[in-house]
Amino acid sequence: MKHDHPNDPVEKWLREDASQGLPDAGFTERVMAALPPAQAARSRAWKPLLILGSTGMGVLLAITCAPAATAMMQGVADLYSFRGVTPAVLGLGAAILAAAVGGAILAAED
Amino acid sequence: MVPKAAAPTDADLILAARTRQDRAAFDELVRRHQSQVRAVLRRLTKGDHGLADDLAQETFVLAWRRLDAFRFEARFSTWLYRIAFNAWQSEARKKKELLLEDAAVDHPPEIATPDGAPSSVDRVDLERAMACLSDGERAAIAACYYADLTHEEAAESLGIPLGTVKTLVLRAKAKLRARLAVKKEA
Repeated sequence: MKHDHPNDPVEKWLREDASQGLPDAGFTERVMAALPPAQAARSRAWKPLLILGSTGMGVLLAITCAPAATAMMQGVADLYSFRGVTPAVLGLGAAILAAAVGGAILAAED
Repeated sequence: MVPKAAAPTDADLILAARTRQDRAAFDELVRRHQSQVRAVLRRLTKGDHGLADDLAQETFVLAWRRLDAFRFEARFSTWLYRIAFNAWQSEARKKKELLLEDAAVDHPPEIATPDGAPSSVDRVDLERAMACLSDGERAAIAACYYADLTHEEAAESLGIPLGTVKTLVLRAKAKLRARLAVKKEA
């Protein structure tokens, strides 16, 4: 900070006090020991990708294997052939939206 | 003779720490900034060195976790002080309501200032005098003198208006002058 009154004794005391450094005395070692492991920090970046990726895989599995698979596949077929917004397309969209919102919420938790 | 390599800048160390998780680089950043961060927190905590060091440790651990959020728009030290002020404010709120903006802040300081202020004071006297300031006054002095922030940076870091920072600094200095002069006369 620029000091407006360099001759002001209070400014002089404060400047002198602030300029006296504090010895480390093991402080840095304590901080470094308290840091989270590097692996945990790195995994933070991957966590949203993993969650969203596994959610996408879950949606695919649900579409192909679940009892409602026929309706889901019908929705995909309807979309592919531009048949408009059929009930099957609505069902498929809702399933994907629900899974995506759930995945995004989980990913944003971090 | 081989010239000695220049020491890495804060920016070099930050990039190494956040791209490679380089703990040695972060270790160097802590060594460079620990003194000022701890000094600021000692003033904010009224000289409670143990609490100040705990908050300083919390500050650096949070900085490590949030290093990706540092945008190089301000000095690294300014960013650290912002974290430190937040840590202090959270701690202070646990104990009581923190009052950074005093009710009478619109009025200029009206504190009798004895003539013949002493030419020097020792650190303990100054620490005791600082402990008698209000939270807002102490925070403004810590930000502007110990953290070496401009009034504008201090206002941003503390989350209070610029005019309030200026008034708090003026009033704090008047109080310190009066208290330390009386102490010297006694």
